[in-house]
Amino acid sequence: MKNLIALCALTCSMSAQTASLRKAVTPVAGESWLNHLHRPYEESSMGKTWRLASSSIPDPASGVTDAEQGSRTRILRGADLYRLNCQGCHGAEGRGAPPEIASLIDPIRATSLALVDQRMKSTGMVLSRKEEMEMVRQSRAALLKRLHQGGESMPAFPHLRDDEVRSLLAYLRQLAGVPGAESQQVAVTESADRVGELVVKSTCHICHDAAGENPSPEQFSQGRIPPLSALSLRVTPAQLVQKVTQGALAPMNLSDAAFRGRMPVFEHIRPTEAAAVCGYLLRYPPAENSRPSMESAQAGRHTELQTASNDLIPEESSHVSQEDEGLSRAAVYAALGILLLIAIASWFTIRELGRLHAQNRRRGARQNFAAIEVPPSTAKPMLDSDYVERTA
Amino acid sequence: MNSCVPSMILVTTLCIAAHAGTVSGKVSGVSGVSVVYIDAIPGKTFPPATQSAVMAQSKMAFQPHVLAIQQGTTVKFANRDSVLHNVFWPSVGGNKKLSHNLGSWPRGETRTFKFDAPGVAPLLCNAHSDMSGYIVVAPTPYFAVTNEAGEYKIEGVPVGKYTLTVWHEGNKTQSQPGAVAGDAKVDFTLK
Repeated sequence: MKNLIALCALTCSMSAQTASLRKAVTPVAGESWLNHLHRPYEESSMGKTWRLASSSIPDPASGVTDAEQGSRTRILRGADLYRLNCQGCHGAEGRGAPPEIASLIDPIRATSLALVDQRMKSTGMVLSRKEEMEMVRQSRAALLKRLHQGGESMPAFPHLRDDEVRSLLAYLRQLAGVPGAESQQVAVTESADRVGELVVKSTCHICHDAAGENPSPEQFSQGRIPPLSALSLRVTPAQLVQKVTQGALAPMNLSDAAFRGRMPVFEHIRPTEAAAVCGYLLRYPPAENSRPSMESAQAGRHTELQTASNDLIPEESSHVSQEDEGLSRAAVYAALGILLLIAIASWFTIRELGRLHAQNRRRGARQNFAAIEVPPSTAKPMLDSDYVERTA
Repeated sequence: MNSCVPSMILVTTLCIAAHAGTVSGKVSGVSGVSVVYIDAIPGKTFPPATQSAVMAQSKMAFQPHVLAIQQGTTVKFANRDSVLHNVFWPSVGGNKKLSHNLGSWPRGETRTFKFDAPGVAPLLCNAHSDMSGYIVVAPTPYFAVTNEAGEYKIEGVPVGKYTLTVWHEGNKTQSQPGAVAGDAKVDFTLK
């Protein structure tokens, strides 16, 4: 028995390994997204957050410094994938920071047939189910295209695996209030390095170039953002974890002793996840080469995705439109009514039979029971009339 | 809010005695632009508009927010954002039978629609619930969108007696008669 369990475990871990081989962890490469956009950090939403944050520096991090836990796997829910990949820009509620960063709530709601139907009805728009489904199909395709190819201001996320996308989209639908989305949440299993890779590629790489030279103190004080490749030269893993999750003093000779630098504090990234960033950057040193080209890399992938869109976004098979719901509800009421009538008629018939039987007994029981005429059941005519009413 | 936005319509009659005149004035009492147009003239038809108009979707908004056109004008809907937009209107002039879903399309693409019936088409986008715009389809070629201060000018109006109507995005209606000769000056106060 023990052998059997061991064999099962082995097979499972092997299949998990083959699955992870489909998209191996790769180094981060190329310039930061802001540099790609030629957008100064100070003009970005992320670059403005440091002014809003408290300048007080918390106690040193509570000792989560283990950058060597690459072998440990974690279970990530869609909500975790959202935190690691999206929340840095779109915020905990998905509303973004318009006009720079768009809200993702409406485009997600547009992928739900139930919500599209609800909105059309609320605006007084009459649309056929077919047209509504076409709207939903277009919104789903647009959403996946945006996720994989990016947009004018949004980077692409080609590094996400299909199972991660599925889990993430399920959470996005929950976040956007799609009915029934809570029950469709799915989790994924990730290595610590993969967690680090997601944080680096989706969040750090927005502002930090992958590789480059370590800025001098002077360049740094003038606003140069250090590349990811220089982080190990600048901070220890413990310092990085604190800097990312709680904020830390900037290594600048400024009179304001509490100045914590310009980097936002990512309170939504957990210390273990920040530690995974260190491990990932150590084991997968950032590469010099340019950002992967989205157009060429994703052109084929997108068509593949469009056909797979229904696979990645859960179907609302249980959804019934208000109209259909109304019809089926009416049918249930009608059936209940008919059953009630039959029950009353049967009860009445039985009672009458019982009464006549008792009468007969009293009269001497010589008369044949069979001779007693049973009053016609009222159930059938009622059924007919009801049927006529319904078809009329 | 999105459902049915009743328009603020105010009607004034005026008479122009000169050969061709200009109707101008000011719409006050409301903020933002209004549309002023000469209502249908019984027994008179106009050649269809030759120029098309553009309603763009830009920076997550309909641009312009209010577009006035002559009945029969073709409108080009141009998506200038990097995201997918949809355009539909639940009615034209309150008539739900004239509702239309133009579909969804990406940046750089344009769809067209010819507005044959007069009235206001409230534009909505299924993908972005905050977006709204209006196309005011005037029954005559004599219409104007006011500036932000409410001032308008309709030029080249032939001699005659007309009914002037003002529309403003809002929820109250009010009307007031009036008669003017020559170059006409008609002010409206919406409350």
